[in-house]
Amino acid sequence: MGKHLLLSLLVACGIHNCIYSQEKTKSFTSHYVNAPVYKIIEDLEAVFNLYISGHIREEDINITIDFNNSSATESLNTFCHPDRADAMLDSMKNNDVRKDLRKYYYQNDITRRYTLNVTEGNTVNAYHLLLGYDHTTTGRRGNEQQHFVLSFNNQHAWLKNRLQLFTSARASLNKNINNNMADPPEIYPYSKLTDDDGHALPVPKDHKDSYPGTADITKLLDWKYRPVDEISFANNKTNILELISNYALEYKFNDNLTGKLIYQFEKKTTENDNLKSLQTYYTRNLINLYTQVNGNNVSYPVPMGGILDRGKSSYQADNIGIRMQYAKMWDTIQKPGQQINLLAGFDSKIVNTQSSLRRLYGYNEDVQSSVEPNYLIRYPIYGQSTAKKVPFMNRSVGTNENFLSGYITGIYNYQNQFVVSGSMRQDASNSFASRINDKFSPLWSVGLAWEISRARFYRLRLPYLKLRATHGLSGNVYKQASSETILQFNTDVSTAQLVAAPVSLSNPDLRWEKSRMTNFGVDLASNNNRIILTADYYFKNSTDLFANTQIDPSIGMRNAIRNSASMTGKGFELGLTMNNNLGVIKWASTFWLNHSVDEIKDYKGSAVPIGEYCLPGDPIPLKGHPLNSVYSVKTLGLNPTTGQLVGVYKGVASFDYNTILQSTDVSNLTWHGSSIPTYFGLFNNTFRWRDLSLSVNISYKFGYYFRRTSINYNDLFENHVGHIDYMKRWQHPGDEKNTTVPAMTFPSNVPEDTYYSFSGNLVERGDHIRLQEIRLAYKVSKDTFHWLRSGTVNINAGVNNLGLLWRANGHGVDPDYINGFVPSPTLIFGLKTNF
Amino acid sequence: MRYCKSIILPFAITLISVCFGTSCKKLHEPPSTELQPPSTLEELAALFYYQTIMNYSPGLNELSADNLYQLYDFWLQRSPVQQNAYLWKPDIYGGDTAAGDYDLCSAQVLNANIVLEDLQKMSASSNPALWNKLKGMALFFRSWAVYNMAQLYAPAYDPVTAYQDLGVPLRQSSSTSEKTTRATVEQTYDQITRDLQEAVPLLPAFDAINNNLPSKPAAYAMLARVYQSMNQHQLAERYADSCLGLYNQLLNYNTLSISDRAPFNKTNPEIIFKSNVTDKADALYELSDSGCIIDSVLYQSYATNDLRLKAFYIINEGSGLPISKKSYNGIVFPFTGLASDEMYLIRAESRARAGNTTGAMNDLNTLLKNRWATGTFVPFTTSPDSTVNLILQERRKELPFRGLRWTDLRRLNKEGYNIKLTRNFNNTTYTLLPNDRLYVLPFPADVISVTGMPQNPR
Repeated sequence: MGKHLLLSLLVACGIHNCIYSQEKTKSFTSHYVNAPVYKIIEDLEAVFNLYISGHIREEDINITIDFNNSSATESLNTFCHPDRADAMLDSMKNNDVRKDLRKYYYQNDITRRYTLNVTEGNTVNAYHLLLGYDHTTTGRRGNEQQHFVLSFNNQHAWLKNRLQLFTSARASLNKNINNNMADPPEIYPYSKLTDDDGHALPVPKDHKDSYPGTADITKLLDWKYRPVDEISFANNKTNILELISNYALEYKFNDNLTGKLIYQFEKKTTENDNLKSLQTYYTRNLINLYTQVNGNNVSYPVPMGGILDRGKSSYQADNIGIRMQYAKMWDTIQKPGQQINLLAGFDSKIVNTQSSLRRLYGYNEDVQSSVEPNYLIRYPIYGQSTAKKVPFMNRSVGTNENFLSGYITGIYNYQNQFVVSGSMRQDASNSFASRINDKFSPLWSVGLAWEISRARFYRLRLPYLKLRATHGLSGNVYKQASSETILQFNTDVSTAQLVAAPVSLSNPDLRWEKSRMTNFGVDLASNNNRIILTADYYFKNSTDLFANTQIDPSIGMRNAIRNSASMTGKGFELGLTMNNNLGVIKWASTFWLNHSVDEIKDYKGSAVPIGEYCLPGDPIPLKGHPLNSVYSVKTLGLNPTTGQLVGVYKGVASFDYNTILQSTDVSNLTWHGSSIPTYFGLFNNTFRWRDLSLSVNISYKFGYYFRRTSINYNDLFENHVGHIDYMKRWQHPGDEKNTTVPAMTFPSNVPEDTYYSFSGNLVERGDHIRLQEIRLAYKVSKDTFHWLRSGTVNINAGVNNLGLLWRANGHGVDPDYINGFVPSPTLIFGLKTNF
Repeated sequence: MRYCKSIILPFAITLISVCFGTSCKKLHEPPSTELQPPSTLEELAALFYYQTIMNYSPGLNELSADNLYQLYDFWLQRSPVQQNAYLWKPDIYGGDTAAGDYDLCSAQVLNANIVLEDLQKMSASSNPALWNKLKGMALFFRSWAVYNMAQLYAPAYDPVTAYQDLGVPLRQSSSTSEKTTRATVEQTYDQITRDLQEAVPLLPAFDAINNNLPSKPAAYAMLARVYQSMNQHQLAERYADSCLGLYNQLLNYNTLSISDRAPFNKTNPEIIFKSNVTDKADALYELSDSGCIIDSVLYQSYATNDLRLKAFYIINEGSGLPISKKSYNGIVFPFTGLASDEMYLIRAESRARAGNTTGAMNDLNTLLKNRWATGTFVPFTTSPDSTVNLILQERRKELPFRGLRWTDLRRLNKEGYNIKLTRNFNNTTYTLLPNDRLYVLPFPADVISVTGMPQNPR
């Protein structure tokens, strides 16, 4: 048999304009969006007026007002003189830190990808070779990723193709540089990151800019934080090397029986060196915090020098499988007869991981020397009334997971008209949870399909019609759950003793999660597959579900994983594919619609303060509602004289927000609906005209709710996080008719901020339609371009993340990106040739 | 194809059986090196070696007592729970659920119960000495934690009403199905003393290196402390005596480097059982610029030649006010463990109350001889009527910031000592009257809502 060689080269490039998305949304804060800078300054003036009139103390102002490049006191003095204040305000109005962030923090996200494929061979011996290289400069300046890959697959057959050996090996190397990991500093919008000559300027971080006082300034390291310099001082490299090899030996005993042995070996090692040199703020800050000044004696418990965090981890998996397959047909050429397929097998997988982290203090890069600090002594922290030990970061952990499973499946096919199938499997592993295996019978499923269109009596004009039904039982154990008490062991640094603390309590009632599911389906197709429809309806009943339940603190722990819930679910899935001809243009479209709802039928966890239901994170089940739900606390609007948010407790107005949030009476909660889409799907279209094609992909999500963000005054004062809703806040009596944003109080009322963020005023419908992608592709082939020697060239260009076509909420929020960071459109160019 | 069948099949079967045979064995290996169920006595012991849980005790009692006052700016930097406890506010948590003291004591009870349960499953025959020791330690630690909890959340022991006064939860197992309820004060102290008495024969002799673990004298010392808090002085005397019979070493303060910030260290020979105030109570840290100031009456009560004045306190250069040095075992958190000096004082007080003035004064002078500058100490003498008061004064001077004062205030006020506490703070005067219900701290709000236990009225 003749060998044939196939070569293909793929070149692709994606450009993601990161600046655009940062600027539009989060950047230093998503919340100043569109808020004119001067407006915020005006309101800060109000804060100063409170100070001057004696309503607030100077300490409180220092928290709020720490102007860039000038100490807090200077700013304060300036503010206290109205003439100078105006000039200062005017100069600040011209600054917009977003411009600086764009210049020094962000860059375009560009990915370049090159792939070369070589395929050669025939049925006796064939190979496939792949060489790939990717290069990505991420949206943050200073970060870069490179990826190399080499893969080789080979197939060889002996004994007239009865014995076949498949081997493959793949090696890949990722080299990542992450020198810009910190989020942009939370600073005033009118700050500057560099001076007019481009030198990095400090911004306040952790403490006042004027800190420390002059007394100890010579004994401490420079304590200023210059975000622009941080990026160039950072040195954080990660290399990931991954090797995977596969061997499969297949032997055909006869026409019906085939045996197969499979072995896979996988190894991945990750090495991370994060050197925080003495120039970085992290290191300077840590050394300063621990500096001991005693008159003229100065000592540095955190050794002078860089800090190197060296992390290593490895993952190794060995997978051995054996399967026997039996296939038999009783066939005639004209008419399909009966067919039976049996498959039985065992799989065994052993996974070992090791990870360690070691921190070297006082690190000198040139000679690779370091200094061991004294970890045992608690040192007073500079400028804080507290004492701490030098952070001990060395750690090493190994895990070892072993799995074994056996399975058997069978399919019986009668004349392609009836198909009966069944499967059964049993899993075992060394996780603590699955030691309860013996309490559970194997998992199984049965199925039946009937292609009515093949029946003798079938007279409908639809050429293809099939009915399907399956029923099965599946089970699941949660790895962290255990029927025994689990202790976490460690070695005490100071005594070298083995020490332990409980992390999971014994639970003799631990059971498998069980889920019974029944599915009915229908498939149909019209002539020439112009319309293909598949539809499925399912319902399921899950019991003994695991939930991380809050437990009585008197037990000695606050959380435990328990079989504590049961729920039901149902839904349908609809797929429609159509192929139409619009004159010379061919239009292919795919429409998918998914619907699913669930309901908690029972929940045995202990009562939880209602505030917890409104927090992000693991959902807390509540009987009668979907597991993932949006709840809110009730309000009676704003107080007409003060603008304070009026809470509701037991149906009565209340300002005691903490009592309401701490109560466990869920009648104080409002349920809005599911927090995940109950209807979702996509609508993809491809238009073809000769060798040119255009695809337009649309996705949609309906039937759910989300909680949007709003102004949080505590965040505003403490972290400079503003929000556009600030402009809508209650300011004068009467405003309560038009706004739900509470009045600003200084200092902020934290419980009120929390209560407001949990209130129903901020819950919105999440429904939306998104334009996912538009792509244009052109195939240059030999048929049209005769100068091409051989093969084809595919060229394509497209745009991803085009944004929303429609949304239900009137606040301009993209429900998939509630906290800002809406990805901006990504441009993609690609070129693929075959030789 | 006979060739294949004869070679490949046996080969495959052998290979497979080897592979899966190994796999089956591997199903019993623990999945992680650091997370495991305890399988040996040594691994159970690791729970008690964990000093971060086992050798800490509550701080809210000391913060509420009268050994200290706080400067306003210092107070402002504390957590809300510490701020409110200092001012005897009715609700000390203010919605904060991170209630360190309750969780700490509960975690100690849990570790003790885990050990008691697992000991039942493990055979004693492999190492009977260790098995017994662990059981004794578990009983000691459980009573240690329950007693500390009772000093915060249960009223002082009153023999008349103890059968109906509400005490603290007495959890008997680590099982989450055991419902938590409040025992009576009678039941609470019953369990504390029963556990300790059962522990005595099981516990090892004192070992200075391992004073983080309980020993026989530690159990006696604890019994003495418990009975004294119950105003049962006869029993307190008996157990203080038993303790001192096993261990009675005192440290002569003349041998200390008295001007150091840390005149004591962890080898302080008076320590019988090590414990310090939890790090949640950072107001009590030893710090060079601390705003936690020594009560002026207490500070002025020391005589000039009394070395404790310089060993315990230092004048802060910034404020000119006296603050604490590093604690009795040399670290920044106040020492709250058991020590021989406390035993001398318990026996002295009990003897004085029983009319044994000579015995009482012997104990007091034995102790104070080691506290005064060499050559300056003249043994105290007193009339039988004022012996108890003299010993109580000396007790206050010897044991400040040892977590004992709050309990003393509660038991002495029960006996009619009528000690009224006041704090002048930020232009407001706060008062705590004798036997006030504010002497019983509230349970954290979430504990009440989850268990349905009755809250302490405040």
